[in-house]
Amino acid sequence: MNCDGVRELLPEHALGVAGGRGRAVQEHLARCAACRKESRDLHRAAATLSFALAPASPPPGLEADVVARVRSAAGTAPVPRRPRRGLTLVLAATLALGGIGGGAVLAGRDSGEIQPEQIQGRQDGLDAFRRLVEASRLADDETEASLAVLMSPDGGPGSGSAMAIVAPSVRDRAIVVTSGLGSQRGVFPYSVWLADADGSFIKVGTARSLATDGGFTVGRILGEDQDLSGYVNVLVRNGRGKVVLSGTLTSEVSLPTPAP
Amino acid sequence: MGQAAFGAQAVYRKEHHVQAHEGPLLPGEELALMQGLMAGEDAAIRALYARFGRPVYTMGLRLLGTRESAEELTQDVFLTAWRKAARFDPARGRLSTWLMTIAHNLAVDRLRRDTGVSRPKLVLVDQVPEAPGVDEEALVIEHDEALRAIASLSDAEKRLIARTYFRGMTAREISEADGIPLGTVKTRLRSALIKVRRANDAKEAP
Repeated sequence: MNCDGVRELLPEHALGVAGGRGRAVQEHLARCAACRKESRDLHRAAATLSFALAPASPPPGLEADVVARVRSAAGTAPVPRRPRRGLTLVLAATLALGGIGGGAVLAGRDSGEIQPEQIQGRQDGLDAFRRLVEASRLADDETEASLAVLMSPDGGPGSGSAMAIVAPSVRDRAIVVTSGLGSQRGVFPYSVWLADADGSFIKVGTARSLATDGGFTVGRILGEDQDLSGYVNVLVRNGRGKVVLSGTLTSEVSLPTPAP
Repeated sequence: MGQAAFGAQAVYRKEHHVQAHEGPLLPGEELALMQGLMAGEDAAIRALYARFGRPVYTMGLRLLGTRESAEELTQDVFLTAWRKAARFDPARGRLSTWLMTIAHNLAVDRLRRDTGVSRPKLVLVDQVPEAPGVDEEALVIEHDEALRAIASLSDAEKRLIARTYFRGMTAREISEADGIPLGTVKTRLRSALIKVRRANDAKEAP
């Protein structure tokens, strides 16, 4: 959506009646300072109107209810929240990964007998996945968590998985776990990118060495004003610039049943 | 809530070594309050409630019509504020704007979800002879701003604002109900909001 389209919607957005188009407006505002200022002014005007209502007195017990509910949410025993479908899939994926090792499982490959050191080698990445999922659970209902299976586009070695969280309440973030890549001369550094449909790229990270299973884990938490919406294509390039793994982020990842 | 509200703010200022002063919170105080909210600090939550509990509850009662709905909305607003507290930036606007936008969005979501429910008669502050218990200075200032804003609108614009902001009707719904072009409704909405904004810009000018 361009500036003209957004500005036509801004009055309704400020008045809280933009409906489903509000998300598109928010995405534009995240990258357009001029429209953001216009939006801020209109929101300020609209908020003024809220004080035009004849004041009413809340019941005496409401303050205690509010304090208890916020403290419960902020404390060590947060109020249980029902995870969304996408998040449930992520949790399931995380559990599966935790059982028998990362990228190979998501890529549907028969990885054979997994050595203990390989499991250990993935542990850091899996812990990172878990932390991300926990972080997303604290965010509001608009949080989107998505996964990607990464495979070689030309049948080469290696596999991997990626997860991205797009949320209005916490900074957007992404993590990529790989395994089975080559370490021959010239392939370093590996770099991981997210791309949108317009060809814009966001770098997730760089790997200059591999773990014992031939993999690495990189992650990135974006800045406050950055947005991962639309960045669904995951690319892993080697030091020569060749794409060695790729995949598409989606909330509907089907997980293959691990071999017994 | 009047004196109690003022007391909670004073306690919070004392506990956080903020120099005592009357009137609205300063930007630095707003940020400190939100950081306290994020951490789930009792004093911060109470100070925030003391400042905004009444307007948020008012929003719920006047728009949704029942005490139960208003209480539920109030709890949801403060919980949402806690979840989104990290996004509050005093450089981008006042805390009152931020919090009342959350309150309004949640209220309108419910209004539009609960179709068919009878709505209460809208009662604006200038329609009651004396606002009972409104003795907090910050609230008085905001009521003054609201009255100034409403007074700057024509009757048609007041009606338009009431149907959107207080009743949750979209521009398209108004266009279809009144048989006027959608573009005209949008233009009038924008014009009305600009008038509201200018009414208070003029007040702030020297």
